[in-house]
Amino acid sequence: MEVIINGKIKLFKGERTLKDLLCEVCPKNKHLITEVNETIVKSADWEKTFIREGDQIELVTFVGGG
Amino acid sequence: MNPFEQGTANYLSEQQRQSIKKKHIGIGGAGGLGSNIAVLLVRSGFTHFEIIDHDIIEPSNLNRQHYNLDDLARPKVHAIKEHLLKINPSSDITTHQIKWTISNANHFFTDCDFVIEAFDAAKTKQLFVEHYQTKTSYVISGSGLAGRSSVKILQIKKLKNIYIVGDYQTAVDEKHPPLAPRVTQCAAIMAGIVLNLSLNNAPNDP
Repeated sequence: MEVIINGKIKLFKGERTLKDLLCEVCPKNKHLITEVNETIVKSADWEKTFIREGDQIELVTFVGGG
Repeated sequence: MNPFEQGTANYLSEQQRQSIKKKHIGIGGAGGLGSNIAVLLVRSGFTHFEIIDHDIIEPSNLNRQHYNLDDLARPKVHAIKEHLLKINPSSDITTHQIKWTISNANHFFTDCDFVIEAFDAAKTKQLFVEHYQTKTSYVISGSGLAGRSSVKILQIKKLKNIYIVGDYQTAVDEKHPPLAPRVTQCAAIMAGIVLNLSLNNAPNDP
């Protein structure tokens, strides 16, 4: 399965939820804002959001300090 | 018009000033980002603010936050309101000295055009941005602003109606303390996005 994450093509094998994908792509940071095909997906919905071939995913990481 | 407003009339047209004055600005957090953003937006002509912060001012805040020695031990929201009114006495500023949580989130920023995330904790940033993204026109957030200015260039990332400014990596830690130049640089970029969107320009236009 080919998806585009932050403008770069990534290949994955098998079915994945957004939560699975984030664990692989950003294992160290769980505090992110995610957009899938121009729709914001809240963290509460990551587990029930399945990634599909060709999805365009944007991720931004939140780190402490403000 | 008070003297401050007369002064800004030198730089912005009547139409631009009216457009700015109509906007309601919500700010979550009155620390390094929030206090500096509030000052920059008041100086830009914004007058309607709602600011939430539970904290009091400590000596460790003075290296980067818009407070001075006389403000120590005061609630941040009281001190920032006073400072903003000294710049433009016509400002209309609502403050809440309370800790923002996802449980009380619906009590705040109900009529804001812009909601600005200016908290410390990454988890709070995430919950705050997620929550207000569907409830306001624009959310502006900061992520990755610690350390010295040479660390990494601050960027602007846009997702839907969310603008996130920072390097998205450099958290505050022992190696990367929160220092005035980079914190205020991030605050200035965030305030600039609000100003440009209010004037109907692209967010990174000069």
